[in-house]
Amino acid sequence: MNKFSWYEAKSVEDALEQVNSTVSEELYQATDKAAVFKSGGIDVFDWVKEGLLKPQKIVNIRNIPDLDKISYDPKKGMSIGSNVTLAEIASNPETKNHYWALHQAVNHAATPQLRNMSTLGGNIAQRNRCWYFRSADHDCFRKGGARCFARQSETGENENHAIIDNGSCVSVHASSIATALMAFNASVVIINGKGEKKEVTMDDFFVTAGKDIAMENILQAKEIITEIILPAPTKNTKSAYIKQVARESYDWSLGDVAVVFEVSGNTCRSASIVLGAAAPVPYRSMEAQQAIENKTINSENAFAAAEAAMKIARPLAKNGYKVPLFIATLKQAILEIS
Amino acid sequence: MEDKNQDSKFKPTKGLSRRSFIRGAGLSTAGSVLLTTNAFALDYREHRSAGEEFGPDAMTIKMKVNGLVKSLSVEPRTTLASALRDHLELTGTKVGCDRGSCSACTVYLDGKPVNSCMMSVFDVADKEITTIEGIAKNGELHPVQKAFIEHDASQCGYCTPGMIMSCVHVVDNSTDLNLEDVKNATRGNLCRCGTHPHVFKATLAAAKKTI
Amino acid sequence: MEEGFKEADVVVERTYRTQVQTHMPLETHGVVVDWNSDVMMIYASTQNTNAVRNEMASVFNLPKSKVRVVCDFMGGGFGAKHSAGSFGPMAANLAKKSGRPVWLMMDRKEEHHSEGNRPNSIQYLKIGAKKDGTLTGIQQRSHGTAGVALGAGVGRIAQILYPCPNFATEQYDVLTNAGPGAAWRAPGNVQGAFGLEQAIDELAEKLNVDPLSYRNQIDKSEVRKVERQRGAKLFDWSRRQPAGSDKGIVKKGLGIGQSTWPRFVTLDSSVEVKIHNDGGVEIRSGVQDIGTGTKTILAQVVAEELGLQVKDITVNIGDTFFPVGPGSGGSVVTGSITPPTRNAAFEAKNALLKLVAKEWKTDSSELFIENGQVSSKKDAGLKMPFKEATKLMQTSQISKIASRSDDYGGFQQPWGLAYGDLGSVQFAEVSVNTETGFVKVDKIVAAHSCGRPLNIGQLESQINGGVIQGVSYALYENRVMDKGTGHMMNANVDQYKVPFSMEIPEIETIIVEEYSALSSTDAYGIGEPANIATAAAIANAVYNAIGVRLYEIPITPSSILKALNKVS
Ligand SMILES: Cc1cc2nc3c(=O)[nH]c(=O)nc-3n(C[C@H](O)[C@H](O)[C@H](O)COP(=O)(O)OP(=O)(O)OC[C@H]3O[C@@H](n4cnc5c(N)ncnc54)[C@H](O)[C@@H]3O)c2cc1C
Ligand code: FES
Ligand code: FES
Repeated sequence: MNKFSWYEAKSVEDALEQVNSTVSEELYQATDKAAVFKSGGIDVFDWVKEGLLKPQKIVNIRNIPDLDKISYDPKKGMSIGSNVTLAEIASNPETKNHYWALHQAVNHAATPQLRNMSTLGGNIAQRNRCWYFRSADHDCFRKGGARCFARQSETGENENHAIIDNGSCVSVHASSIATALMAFNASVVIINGKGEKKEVTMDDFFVTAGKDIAMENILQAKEIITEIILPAPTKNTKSAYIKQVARESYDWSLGDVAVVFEVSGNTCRSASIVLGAAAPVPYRSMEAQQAIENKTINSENAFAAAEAAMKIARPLAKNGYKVPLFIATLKQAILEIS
Repeated sequence: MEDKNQDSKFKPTKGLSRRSFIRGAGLSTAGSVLLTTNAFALDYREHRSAGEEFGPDAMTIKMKVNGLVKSLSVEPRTTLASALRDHLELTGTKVGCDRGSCSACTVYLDGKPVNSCMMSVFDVADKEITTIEGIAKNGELHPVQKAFIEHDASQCGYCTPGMIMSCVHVVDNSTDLNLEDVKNATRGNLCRCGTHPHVFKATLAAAKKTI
Repeated sequence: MEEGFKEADVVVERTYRTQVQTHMPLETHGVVVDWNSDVMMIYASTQNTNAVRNEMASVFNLPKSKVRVVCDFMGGGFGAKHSAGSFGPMAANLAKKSGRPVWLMMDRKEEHHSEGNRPNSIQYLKIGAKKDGTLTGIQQRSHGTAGVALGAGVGRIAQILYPCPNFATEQYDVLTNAGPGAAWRAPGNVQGAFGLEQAIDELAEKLNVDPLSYRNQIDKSEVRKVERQRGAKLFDWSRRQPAGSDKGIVKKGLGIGQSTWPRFVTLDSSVEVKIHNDGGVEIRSGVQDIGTGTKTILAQVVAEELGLQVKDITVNIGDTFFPVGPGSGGSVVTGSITPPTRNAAFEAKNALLKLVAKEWKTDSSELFIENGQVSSKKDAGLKMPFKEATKLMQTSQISKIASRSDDYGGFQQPWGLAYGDLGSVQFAEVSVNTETGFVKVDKIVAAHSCGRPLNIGQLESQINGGVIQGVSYALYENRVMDKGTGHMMNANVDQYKVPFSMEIPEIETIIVEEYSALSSTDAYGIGEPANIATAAAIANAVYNAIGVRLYEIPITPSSILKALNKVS
């Protein structure tokens, strides 16, 4: 690890004053003059240990007061401060009662130790786990290089990679929790250096590789996430989340799905269906949503919706298995709701 | 580098606030590190009204490990694992992957298991660290440790400290422990030798005895 | 060879593929070298103190007596830690130049890249049998790469597991620019068993016999016969259904795999047993304990011989300043070091009893030690605590050194220092999700023999470890190399998949005692045998579940879904 100084931020304003870049920008440009945010620090230290991020200063926002609050209001929904740890979300009874899919997603992310350290803000802002992107030996698109190694037809090791929207970078987003957040139509509250506050939906928070190859989300240098807000569920809101992994104990997703339905009886009135590890960002499947809306939740319709979701899939050489995997998983998740 | 003298004299006293007993401990030794050098760590919250920058060079900080206050000279890039092993000679904590994926480096931060390889020693601040060396009390092994010996739950032993930290935590924090609970608690602990079946048995046995 | 296949009524001809598997011991390779004084002091994470000493002495042109290697504990080796590597000499040079001790440990990436692996294999196997099942020919041809090293053969298992009149093998090493291979728990045999044991199952199916009964017919090993019987009962083999017949999305399957491993012995195995005049007993040897429990069994052997408790014995091993010990490879340690340990203890005991006999004016052959007391067979009234007896010494200690001798009657394998085989039979039960492709190993029954079992807990530990690494080999781990750049892409712990708690099957062990009376302990190792049959048993079980055979490991969701024609 390179030498860096440590700034203990006292407030959001204090932190925004100190920071001058984002991890994503630094990975793209590799300056060595950066001051970047760190909350749980898992992802930041990972990059620094790999030598791909050489910050001059780490701005520790982990101890800023009030970013670690979690609250639920039956009318307003849930607010989760950006510094709330995954463990805290997992053990929160309101999450379990009102946002089952999120509860499941958090419980299936990382390890008990890591969940005690990782924060929700850091989790959705972490970078992808493509092994070429994470390797100092491979100068890929995302690091300002000229190639995507994973998509090379003869040599690319792309078994974990994207089957949808894989026209440029074929990585998949690392956060499996974001899949559930997006399905709940959560939004992210961001404050910038001028003190301006904005609230963007998860759908708008993530940035596709086609739009900006350096980024996976909209966060700019002097912007901080302060909270994530989940709309209040109705008594007819039902949800499910399933994550497929090579190794059950803990693992990065091979394909995860979050499903949030408004139901009446056993009929789906409106559907929110998001696929994780399918595309470079969490992917909302309009096709699946349309296919299941106003239909009875049964095996046949669930399968039809799952198949619809995979219509646009264009697998790479080694990840064709993800198509049947997603079909089986999405079908199962939809059926869990009935 | 660490102030061993002070460590041996450090005895938490009931009734004093954390701040005052640390001050007291500092004053009781010549040239109190706490009052003279910068005050990061244990009492940093109270000192600061605005943010503060530390490093990048090494500086003396204090942290509470296994009930004792330790001073050590570290840089912000020093991981907690390195601080424990290389600076405080608490080598029971192991580093297997150095990336948060094997949990050999598990310690408790205010009672919660964390990976000491993935955090800066500056992350500790005023929280208390418990390492494998702090699990036995007054020379008496924790029931989980005893059970590990009884059930031959370690082979090369390299994962064992981290494994014990996970198992002690789940035993001490649950009632009616079952096999699934033990498996869940050790999801992040890599044992390349394959001791798991004996680890599970030992932990369940320990839970029965302590309940 | 051709004759053999001409006689055959049924023939199985297949190609099997196994992946490169890195050792990934939790503690990486490395040393601390302190070369301040006349003696080069090396603290090594090694499974062979003796070899490291010899290598370093040779590199630096030092007498062996001036190099001291110490290994108190080490964090796993599995075959990869027999050498000083390049890090050893590097650290020594730096220590010399700096005048300071030098700590040099690999990081995880370096460990994956450079510190050993099990080579891959592409094995062609052709096996022929008559209608009645009699084997007529086995032909094997294998290619594999140990990167820049050699050693990609697939072992002798196809040659010796089932006697066959016609056998031919060709085994090729392909050199590539990748990290060097190294011994890995039963080198060659784990790969070889994966091919052979699947081929035997396929042959049985063609012959229309149960794979277990077929093995009863063609396997001549007495011990494996017992293991099959006891294993099949515990596992309830009778539950096994025809391949692919389980209904439902998640299908269950049962499979069997067998193995053999020679009873190797290393004559470079010496021990010193000391009785001190304060009652203390000490064992010294260069042999290291790599987590297999060598320290414990040495103490057990000496305690038993001296009529003391295990806790009364101090074990100081893993130091080349002590009598030379065997390297921990080939599962040789227990069979090599426990007999001289017992013999040295016996000698030391006799020396002590002579002193007591003199005191009691009797003959030492009438004396024995039990429960920490020296007693007489003739006169029940004569008793002396062990500690008191040691005070009779005029010197401060009795010291006896013993070395491993040939087996009683001589070694019986023409090709080396070994006798017979350590047989094993493993049974696997798996669940395969035919929609997602995930395979889960639910249960393994592992039946093993290793001569005289010395410590059941430790034996179980070794078998558990071998089985779990076998599960890992069958389903999870795989070195992923980018063919364009030649880099290993998953040189870390999270993406180099190995089992953690949730992947651990229920494991039941059966230990079959098998005595040959060829040494004073008649005990042998288990480390390697435990690892050989697992992947083959799992592959056979997967076939039994889904009715489609997989000829390549690791078996992944991708390979299952492809096998089931679900990937377009
Ligand atoms: C072995 C392993 C397995 C894992 N498995 C999973 C998994 O299965 N599913 C999953 O979802 N995650 C997984 N993770 C991710 C992990 O749980 C963390 O969530 C993640 O690494 C980042 O969280 P953090 O709080 O440590 O973020 P940090 O490392 O502190 O920050 C991450 C990024 O976010 C930025 N940032 C942090 N906070 C803010 C903020 N408030 N405003 C603006 N920017 C901010 C930082 O600058 C940095 O770029 C795994 C990690 C590891 C190491
Ligand atoms: S060393 Fe910290 S998790 Fe592996
Ligand atoms: S005992 Fe060796 S890694 Fe667990």
